[in-house]
Amino acid sequence: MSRESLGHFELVVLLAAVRVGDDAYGISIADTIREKTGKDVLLGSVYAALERLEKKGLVQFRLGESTAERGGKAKKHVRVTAKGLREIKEAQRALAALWRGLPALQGGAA
Amino acid sequence: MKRLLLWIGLHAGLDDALVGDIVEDSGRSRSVFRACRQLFSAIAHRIALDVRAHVWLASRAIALGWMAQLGLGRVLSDTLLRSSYAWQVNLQAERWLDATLGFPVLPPIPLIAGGSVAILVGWLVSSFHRPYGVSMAACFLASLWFVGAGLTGTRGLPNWLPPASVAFQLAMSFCVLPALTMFGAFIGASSRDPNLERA
Repeated sequence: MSRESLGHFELVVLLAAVRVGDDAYGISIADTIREKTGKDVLLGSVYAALERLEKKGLVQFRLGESTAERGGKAKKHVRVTAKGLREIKEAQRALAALWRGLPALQGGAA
Repeated sequence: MKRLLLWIGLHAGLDDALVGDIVEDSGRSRSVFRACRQLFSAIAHRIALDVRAHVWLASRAIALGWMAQLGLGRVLSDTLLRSSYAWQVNLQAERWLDATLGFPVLPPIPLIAGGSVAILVGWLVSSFHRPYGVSMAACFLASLWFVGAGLTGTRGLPNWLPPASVAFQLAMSFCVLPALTMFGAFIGASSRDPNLERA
């Protein structure tokens, strides 16, 4: 894992962006997170995470079309970079290693 | 609703695409509560980020805000209440207001002066700190609340006034005047000058 390791929510946002694909933007990412985790996330939080991810070079933005339903504001599409994909795989490896061999949690006892 | 969301979001310095998303989301959900929640949480995020990234500007905003608050407040009160005629009007208006509300409150002229000063100070702090105007004004407001809460804590609430009067004064100090300050800040932020880039 890189020195600037991914936060939990950053990882969730990255994974959602990968799931959505090339058309990923704020709303589609938030919808995917809600659909898969059952948790409603605020768009402000998604954008804050995306800004941090962009600074780390894990995502890139591309401006899309503006529409009347968006008040004439263009969409900001998100693309996960190769570095971002490597970070996701590294996080998956690390989490899988930590999970492996853990006794099943029963009734709260470890 | 869409225009209001756009205006508030852009004046608060939110990303264009984020504002567009909030507008699009409000159109889908048709829930005013949800739209407000999205907008204000995004603004809160923005304020926190701006203040953390520009601590020096935030300090300057607090200093400027306090100087303006104390200076303008004094000047306006003195000017408005200089003449004996103004005092008479103020006294009569105070009696009318107390009778209408059923409990004693602050006299109207200082109330109006306080409201005007709040809007002016918000506008001033915001104008001098573009493109982070709203964030810096919010920072100044936090300092006002901090001092106000501290003073209330040390001095206690005035127990010689009826509870309704105390509640009125607290509502004025902690809700109405801060809201007017932020209103002034939004006006002062004046949407996007293309020459001013956010760092």
